[in-house]
Amino acid sequence: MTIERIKKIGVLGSGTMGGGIAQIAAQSGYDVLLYDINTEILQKAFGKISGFINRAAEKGKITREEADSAIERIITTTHLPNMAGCDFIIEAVPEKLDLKQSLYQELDTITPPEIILATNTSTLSVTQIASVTKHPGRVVGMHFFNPVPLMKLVEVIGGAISDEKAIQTTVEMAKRLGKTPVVTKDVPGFIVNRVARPFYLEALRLLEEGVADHATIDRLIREGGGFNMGPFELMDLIGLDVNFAASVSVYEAYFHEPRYRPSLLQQRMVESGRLGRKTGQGWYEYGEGEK
Amino acid sequence: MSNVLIIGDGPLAYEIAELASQKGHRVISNLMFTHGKVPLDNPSWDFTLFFEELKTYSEPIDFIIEAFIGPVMLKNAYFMDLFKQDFRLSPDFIILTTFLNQTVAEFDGWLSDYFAKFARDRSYANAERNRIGWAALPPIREGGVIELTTGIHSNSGALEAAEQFFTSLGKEPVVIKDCVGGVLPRVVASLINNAAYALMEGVASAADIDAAMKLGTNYPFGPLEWADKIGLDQVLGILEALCETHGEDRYRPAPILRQLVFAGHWGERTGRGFYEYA
Repeated sequence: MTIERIKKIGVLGSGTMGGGIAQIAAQSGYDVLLYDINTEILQKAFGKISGFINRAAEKGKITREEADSAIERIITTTHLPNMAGCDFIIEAVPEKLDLKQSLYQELDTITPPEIILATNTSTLSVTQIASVTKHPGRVVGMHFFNPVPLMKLVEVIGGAISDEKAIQTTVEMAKRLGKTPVVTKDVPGFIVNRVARPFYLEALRLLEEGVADHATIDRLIREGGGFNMGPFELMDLIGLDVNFAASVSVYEAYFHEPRYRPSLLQQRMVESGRLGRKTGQGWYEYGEGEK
Repeated sequence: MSNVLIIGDGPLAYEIAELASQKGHRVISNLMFTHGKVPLDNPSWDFTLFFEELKTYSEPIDFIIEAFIGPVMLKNAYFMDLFKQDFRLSPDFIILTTFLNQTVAEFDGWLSDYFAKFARDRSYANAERNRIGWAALPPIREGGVIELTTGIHSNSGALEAAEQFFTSLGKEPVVIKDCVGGVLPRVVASLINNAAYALMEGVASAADIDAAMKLGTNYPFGPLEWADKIGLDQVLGILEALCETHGEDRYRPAPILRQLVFAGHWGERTGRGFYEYA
């Protein structure tokens, strides 16, 4: 299906990512069908999304009319076969391969083969998800960043068997949603989560080798290099457990490439339960208001 | 104001010479491979010509600042030649050596050995106590911090003098442990290497890799455009030194980096690196 004919976007999964995608799709003028497994979850998600859109109107970023019509464009459903009426589908369900694969097998029979199925995976192989469908060429990766309404970047991932046309249409779709798309191959971590690994891993090595303490390393990287945040501050923000899991996943996926070897020191921190801001203590301590 | 001799082989040497000059120091420099970007007092990159000029330089040199980040042998060979020359040095002159591709300890050992064997006629008896390591990465930002480190033999007076000098350049010195690559350069060189591997493996285009890193992680520059500013030859020098010092595959330079360096595509200053410049 050509980009001009796409009017209605189906979004699967109404969590943080799915909700954000539904919001920007509606605000970009698309009709949105938001799917999740039960009405309670959907009602909560819809409340959040309309809250964000209303706040944008209150702040004067969009007009009242724009906000109202964006909210009106979002319809929710718990009935997957309703996706048959959508022209482009973005899936953002939890990162479990078997869950995604069974969903794609169903979507494959529900939707016409010219409809693009885009997965917002950050850690799974797009090729592996696509492999269970009869039309794997239409399955592509569309990796949004959190928070979706603010982060401009979208990684568009061509799986090993994705159609070139489907990739190009997804690039165009990302632009129409107000994003800056970059095209990447289906490799573990894609671009950002792969290329960024040494930012954390080398900093951890420097700490392990006793070159400087964590606060000094942060400062040298921030003030010497012009980064907004040092690696240890950033680990605290992301959550040490989440950051460590990402390193382990990339390391395993690259068959133990030494560039991605995780840090023992970080593992001990995770084991100790000092996970960063969310627990009040990570590399730094945080008061009540800073979590 | 100090009399400063600045020598080196890339943008870092050029930028520190420019900064020292702006801040009122008397700078004499021998900057190699800066490709036309040398509007300072001494534009000669030919070291034999430069040595002739150095002999006639009337002021005694207080600081020798070195920023050779390419092959480490170039740095050491240069010092060998430099100390064969007859030029004026302050009695307590200080050598500020970059620890981007060699620790101060290694540089110390190498130079002391050389002095002991070949330079007996000159009074460098305590010179090894006057060597301090420094590190930064282009583009050198206004203000900010600079990484300093001491060798095993360095004395505290030398460190204080080095700190005062960098403070006079508007930099806040931060002392870390003697190591290869320091903090910022090691992290950034590793990011660049990782991006170069991704480019080489066809994961994405250079422009897309840089755009992704700036938009997805808020980096000040994309790793590949940053490499073009630092100099691909200089990044390769840091990585090779890390690889040799740690003996780990983790730091092996991406083959594409080596190819571009040998092709003379060193980045902005040669008109081409990962990108082309008009």
